[in-house]
Amino acid sequence: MYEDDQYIKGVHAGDRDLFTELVRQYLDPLVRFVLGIVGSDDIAHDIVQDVLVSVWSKGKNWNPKSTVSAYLFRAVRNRALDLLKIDNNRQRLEMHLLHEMPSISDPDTDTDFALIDELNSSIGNLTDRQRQAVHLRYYQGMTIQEVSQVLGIDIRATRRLLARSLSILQHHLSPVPPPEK
Amino acid sequence: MTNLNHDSITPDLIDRYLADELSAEELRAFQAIVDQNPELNTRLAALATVAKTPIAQPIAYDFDAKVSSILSKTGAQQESWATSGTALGEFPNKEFRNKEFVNKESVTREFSTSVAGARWRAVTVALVAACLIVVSGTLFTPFNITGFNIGGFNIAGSPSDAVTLVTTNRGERSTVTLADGSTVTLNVASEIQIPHDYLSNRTIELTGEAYFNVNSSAARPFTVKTGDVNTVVLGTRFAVRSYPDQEMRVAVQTGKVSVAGVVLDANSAAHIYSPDSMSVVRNTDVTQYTGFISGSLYISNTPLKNAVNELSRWYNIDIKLADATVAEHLFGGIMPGGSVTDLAEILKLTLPVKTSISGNSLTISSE
Repeated sequence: MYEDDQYIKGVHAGDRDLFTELVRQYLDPLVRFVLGIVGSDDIAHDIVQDVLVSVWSKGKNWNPKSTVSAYLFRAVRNRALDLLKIDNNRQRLEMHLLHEMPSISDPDTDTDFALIDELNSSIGNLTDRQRQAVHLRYYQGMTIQEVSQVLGIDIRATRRLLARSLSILQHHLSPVPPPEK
Repeated sequence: MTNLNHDSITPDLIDRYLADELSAEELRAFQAIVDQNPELNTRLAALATVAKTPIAQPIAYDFDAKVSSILSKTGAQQESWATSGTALGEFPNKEFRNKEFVNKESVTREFSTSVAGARWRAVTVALVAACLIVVSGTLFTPFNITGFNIGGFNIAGSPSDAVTLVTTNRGERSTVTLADGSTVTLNVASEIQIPHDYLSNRTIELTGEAYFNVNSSAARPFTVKTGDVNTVVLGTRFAVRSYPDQEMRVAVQTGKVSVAGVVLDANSAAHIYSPDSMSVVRNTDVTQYTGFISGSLYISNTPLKNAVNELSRWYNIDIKLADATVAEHLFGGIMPGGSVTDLAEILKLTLPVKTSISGNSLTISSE
């Protein structure tokens, strides 16, 4: 784990060790994120590979205007959206995604099944963009500013998007019975 | 409407709570309000769980192969990365860190070093690269779950509980899913403590042995506390053993960690005998360390007396060795789960011994 400026200097200097570290840090998080957009593991891996390789090829010309994290997530997202446009199959993929919502938890473990079903279905009420914002902010741990940079919208819009997403999620959770005395 | 309506809990506060951005003071105030309202508590826990669920789970893939493939496209080589890892935690003594005990030929080498002037604080294992592969299907039915924690709040148990305990008895194993989707598989006779505020403080205390499959989150490290020793990771699959009667072990299945400045990559394990003595095994088959999650106990050839405690826990039986000869017989192998009679059969087939079972006790004596 290095600081952003170490990674940037490393790429500028052609430092392979640092670049390898960057790849190892971001590969899995990026694959998870982009998989949520394209719905295919192979395509997700290809996109992430292309973006990471392109960072290396930029060499001295790599100047991310945001954090390294926001830069990489934005790059894979843009590439994924381009790909979806090119293939003109966005709708088909969205249909596909609706049937493959992430599962909250392993169904065999001793948790509250009803609650888990509810949570899974509440995620389905979010739009793609809302789901991406929620993932980046609460799963990936990004700041509001980073989320806004990845999604290409301003900070106020990002706050609204997140507030709206949380409100939708809450709305779809049914009331809990009062505790027994 | 079912929103989290409360005068003092604004959308901005909820957002920053979920993003772990509240200051300690804010968090205390927030927690105080939530604690007074059980419904709010449950709803917030549910919201936290859903908000922190990854957008998608990739199919299991070979992390190192993917990294190599990307590097091969850039002409970068992978030879030296293993030594460039940085630990998240500081180790107080540089001498210790620089000791050469990295061994590339799968051989165990012991070393010992004195840590003069600096108290040995902890072995810190820091994950350098995160990798997580989806575990589909739980391996075991949970047994004694004495409390369950979801979203950082106690669903079962009183709100004032500082921790939630999950325990297994001898002969029992159990898998639990934590609020962030990480899973812990407890081996026999083990216990974990999950803190009240797990989502903002991913620290699990472990007694016994467990296998962790940690969801990566660069912002929130995951810590396993075992006595003096902390194991800090960001996302990987690894096993930690810490029974009072055996040396501590950390085995890494995927990802890459550094233990006290020594990098452990996938398929490596560290045996920690005491704060200043450990050995590292590389390029090994870590199944022997993680076998318990699929129901197999691995015992390497050792005098029977050394295996007694482990067998007792595994089969939930007290074991008595009738004489000194029996105690010295070399015993080893892959033990299946099963009943005490299975164990007795295995012993009789592999060693010149006879066995007798009475009540909850197995006596092994010379033939």
